Amino acid sequence: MEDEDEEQTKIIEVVCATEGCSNAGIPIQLEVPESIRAVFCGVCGQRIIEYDEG
Amino acid sequence: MTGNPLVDAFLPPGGNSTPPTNYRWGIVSGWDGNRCLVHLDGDFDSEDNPIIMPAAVQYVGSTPRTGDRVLVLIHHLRATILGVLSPSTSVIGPEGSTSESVLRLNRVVSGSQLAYEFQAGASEQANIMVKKDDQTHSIFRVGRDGQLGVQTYTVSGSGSATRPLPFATASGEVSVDLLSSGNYDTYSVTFPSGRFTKSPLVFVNTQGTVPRRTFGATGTSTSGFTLRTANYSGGNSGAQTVHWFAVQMEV
Repeated sequence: MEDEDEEQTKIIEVVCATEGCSNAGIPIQLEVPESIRAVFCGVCGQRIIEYDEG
Repeated sequence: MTGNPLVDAFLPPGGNSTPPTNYRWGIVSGWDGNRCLVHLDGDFDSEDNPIIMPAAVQYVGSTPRTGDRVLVLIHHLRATILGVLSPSTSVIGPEGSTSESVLRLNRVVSGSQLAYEFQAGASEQANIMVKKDDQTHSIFRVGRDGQLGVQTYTVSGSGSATRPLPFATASGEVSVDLLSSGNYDTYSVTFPSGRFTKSPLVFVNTQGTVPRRTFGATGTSTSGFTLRTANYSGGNSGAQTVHWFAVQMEV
């Protein structure tokens, strides 16, 4: 199994666009692994960003 | 002596019939013509009925209404309302006071004297206290910084035990994709903006009946966390709903 702790990370800025979500329109900076598949909004549960697999 | 117990209470000892000037707080109980009827704090007759006295109204911006707190000047047997406290505000303890200020409500329940107090605490806390027969049973503390705390009565009677409450929490659910055997996936989840001041502890749990994979939280910050899931079950795992809970115990 790969050592996931060694994985490179990057800083991204995400903004939820779900109507009525209390996080909507608020830029949030996150440190995420390079292999990230998607970013979820923790308030409404919707996917903010989706990356291509692989 | 004047024969009026209320006025007599204001007279100095020794029979001097010249009543002194006095300021009292009271509550408006109604109106009689253009005279405002006031119950001064603490004035009750022998049967515990409130003593109501008429008062003129001067220098008051708005007309006193029933239930308003009013400042009354007693001078030469006449009462004059000088001020009306906002009905939405009661002041206990003077501004600048460095000693304890307490608002207490009393009630006898099943033969025991209960006291419910709202106290200005010494550590920049507002304390709500429940006392039974003069013994403190529980305290709910609200810190200036928003930290909440509870002290509850111990059955052994050894006083109270401190039981802190979380400063901030958040929870939610996300839906992750299917995952074939021998692979892992990584997702990120944002927290509600501004919810946490320190990185919280994060707990995750799948809701699937046969998840065939593990979940974990890493890289937690005040903004969010990374959700990792791996499938080494030997079979494919379908899409899953994952519940998460984040808690920051202290400010």
